[in-house]
Amino acid sequence: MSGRVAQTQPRFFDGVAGRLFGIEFAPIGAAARATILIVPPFAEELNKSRRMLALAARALAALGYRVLTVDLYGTGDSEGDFADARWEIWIEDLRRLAATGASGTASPVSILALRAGSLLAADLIADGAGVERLALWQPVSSGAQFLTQFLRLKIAADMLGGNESGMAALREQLAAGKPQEVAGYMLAPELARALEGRTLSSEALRVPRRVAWFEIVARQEQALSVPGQRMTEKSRQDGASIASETLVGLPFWSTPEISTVPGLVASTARFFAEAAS
Amino acid sequence: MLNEVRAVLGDTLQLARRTEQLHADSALLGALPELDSMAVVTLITALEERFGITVADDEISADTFATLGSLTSFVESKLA
Repeated sequence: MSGRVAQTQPRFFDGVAGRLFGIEFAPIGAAARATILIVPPFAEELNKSRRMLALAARALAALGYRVLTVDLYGTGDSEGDFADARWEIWIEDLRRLAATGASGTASPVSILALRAGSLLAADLIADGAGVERLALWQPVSSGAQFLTQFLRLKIAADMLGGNESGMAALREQLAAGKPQEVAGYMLAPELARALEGRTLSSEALRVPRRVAWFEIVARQEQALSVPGQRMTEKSRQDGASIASETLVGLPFWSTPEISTVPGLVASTARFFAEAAS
Repeated sequence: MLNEVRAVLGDTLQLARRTEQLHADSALLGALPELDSMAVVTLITALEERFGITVADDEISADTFATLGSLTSFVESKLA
């Protein structure tokens, strides 16, 4: 593939609480056949993943899709402070974007969600959003577990700073309604509580026409994670059309240096190409 | 066990060939610039997944991450 295969256009979308910054990737010289909405991961994982998400967006636009990436309210270049971000605002904004994305094309939107973005996508689907294809990158299955990992960033930072704090104290502060700064992000108790209550459910995975579950492993012989196996098997039993694939690479959403897994972009493109052909 | 912990550490921090130079007495915290708070959390998660252990949050202490040896002892104690 050579030359430009997609045109990119920075855009602002009207969100419920403020304007959202996004980038629209569109095929060149042809009308888009459908829209793919990219649902981003949480906090710092987004900054680490921007390169991979842009690579995927370009590859999918080259297949003839219109691809929308958006910074959620209070994150990235969108309006609002992270302290004001709420799960419900994110869901409503995504719902509107999905509805807008579907207008003017023959089919409902498809979604590519990364990490905790999978929980948002599942909520969106549970909310009644029709979704054609759903690709999940290293999906977070348990919001509670993910919140614990996120809060550990503060425990680790305090440890590095020479004063050891406790997870129990941190949770008490949140429960008492006090926002907590974690790794530079002011986490509102409401957002923490919402995240903690979310799980990826097989009911949500049954809705899209096709689902692909991708995980990154360190070595070829490694299988899908235990939660990944459990979720995909349960979803299949419940009637979902779901495929899983592991790809060898670095966990790009958390590596100290920005890294990419080209194989994941290629596999994701193959998944969406099936529908486009 | 030291080699396995070292491999997880090297993968997580992207140490590449510097991984092989680490031994039991090698200092980690304060000595490896890559080991910031995000890397510590990533490392804990990777150790949990690799060894099937669960790290309690009050076990995240500077003593554990002082050297490769102390980290290995910690993983061994969780497996015992």
